[in-house]
Amino acid sequence: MALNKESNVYTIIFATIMVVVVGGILAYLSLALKPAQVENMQNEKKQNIIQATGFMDKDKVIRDEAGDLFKEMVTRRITINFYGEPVFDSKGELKDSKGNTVPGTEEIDPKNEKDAFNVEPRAQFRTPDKEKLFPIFVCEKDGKKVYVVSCSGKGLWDDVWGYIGLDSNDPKNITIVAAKFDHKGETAGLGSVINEPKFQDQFENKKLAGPSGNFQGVDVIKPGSRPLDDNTVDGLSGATFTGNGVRDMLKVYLEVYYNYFKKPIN
Amino acid sequence: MSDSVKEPLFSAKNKKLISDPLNDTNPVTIQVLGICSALAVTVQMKGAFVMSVAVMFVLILGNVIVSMMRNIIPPRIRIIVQLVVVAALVIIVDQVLKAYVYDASKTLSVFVGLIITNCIIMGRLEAFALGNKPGPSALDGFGNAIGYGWVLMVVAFFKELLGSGSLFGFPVLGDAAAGTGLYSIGYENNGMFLLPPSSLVLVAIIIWIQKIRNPKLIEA
Repeated sequence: MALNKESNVYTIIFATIMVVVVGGILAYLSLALKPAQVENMQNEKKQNIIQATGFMDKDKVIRDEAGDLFKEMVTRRITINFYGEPVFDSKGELKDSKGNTVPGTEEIDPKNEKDAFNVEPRAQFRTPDKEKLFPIFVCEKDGKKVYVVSCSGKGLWDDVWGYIGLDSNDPKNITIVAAKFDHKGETAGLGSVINEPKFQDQFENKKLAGPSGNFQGVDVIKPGSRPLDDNTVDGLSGATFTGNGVRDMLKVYLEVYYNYFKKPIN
Repeated sequence: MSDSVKEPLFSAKNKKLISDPLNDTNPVTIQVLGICSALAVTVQMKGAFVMSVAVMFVLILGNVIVSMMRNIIPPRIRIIVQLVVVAALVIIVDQVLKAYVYDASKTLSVFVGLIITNCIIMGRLEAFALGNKPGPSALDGFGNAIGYGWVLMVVAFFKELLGSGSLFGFPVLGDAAAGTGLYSIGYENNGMFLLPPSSLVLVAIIIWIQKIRNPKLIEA
């Protein structure tokens, strides 16, 4: 019996089988590749955090080795809220809203969404500022201590985010030791340059406090519009909106961190 | 019957399936398909290269799969069937890149997904794979992917060289920030070559050269 390929029944059966088969293949593939993908993303995050410590040359931090370096250098993870109150501390006990004591966990608990490592700054760029969580990674190497903080904001096309290493040995003179930015979809060759040394390296040795001693943060200005000082970096020609996104993101996040580091940390 | 004689895979006719898209029927410069990605992913050669490879994978496999199904596809929904095949292949590429070639998937970001909308792929499925056997369809896919790829690479070569002063990410004209090499005598990168419109100029120049060398392409 020859198939009538024009018939409705044949068309519907063909479409149904096709959708089930293709759907099954894709679902299997997604499940099978998920662990490798998650590991890539976590290693990239660890890589960015280590790069922001300034302990090593950024190029020398290889993603596949970032897991070991992270274990070795990151000694404590803290998460604070907008008001500077700790909501998670890997070393130390905190009281939750009901007054119960919650001990910190040394290992990263993937289910604890307040764990600094699980706080996904990128997921928060649409959250109102006062509900955001602010992770802090305490990194130590050769007796030096650097606090790596993360931030996220909106660039021209999509979100931009960054990891910033802070040296707060002198709370009045908090200094950026290194910064690592990245983006999801900024214009290639223009806004995308924020994840390259040309832009990132400018942040080294910038101060969070202005000349008056109060918080000033780091401003991204139009290149050449005025001389640079301790609180300004050059933006990128042709990527004004990306630069403004970085500026606005730093304004929100760095002030919260500044207020937190101003007080001595126990 | 001549039809039943088995034609060798690399017969003269089939060789033309590969050579034609490189020049006479080039998908980008002659058929003006796939222009969208030729504009978007050619800022860096690395991205253009990975994109070409990904398109080649999708185009060859898509051609073969559709060609194998050509006798059972209901004609009324054939476009949708082709779309499902292409979309599934593209998702496979995207997921595999994310799992094993993470850096490349970051460079290409959304453009991998946009392979689905690359007109070359649907064009070849509809024009060739639906009416031919899997073998020639694979060659046709390969030829068109190479034809697409070389244009992409040539455009990316000039865009990266003139726009960023580098090739495959390696600076070849000296260090712009430090002012070494060419930059020491006042050379500057041309920002226009970082933007999509410059690709139009480059593609037009390629078409121009191609038509000078190949007079039969000139329409009366």
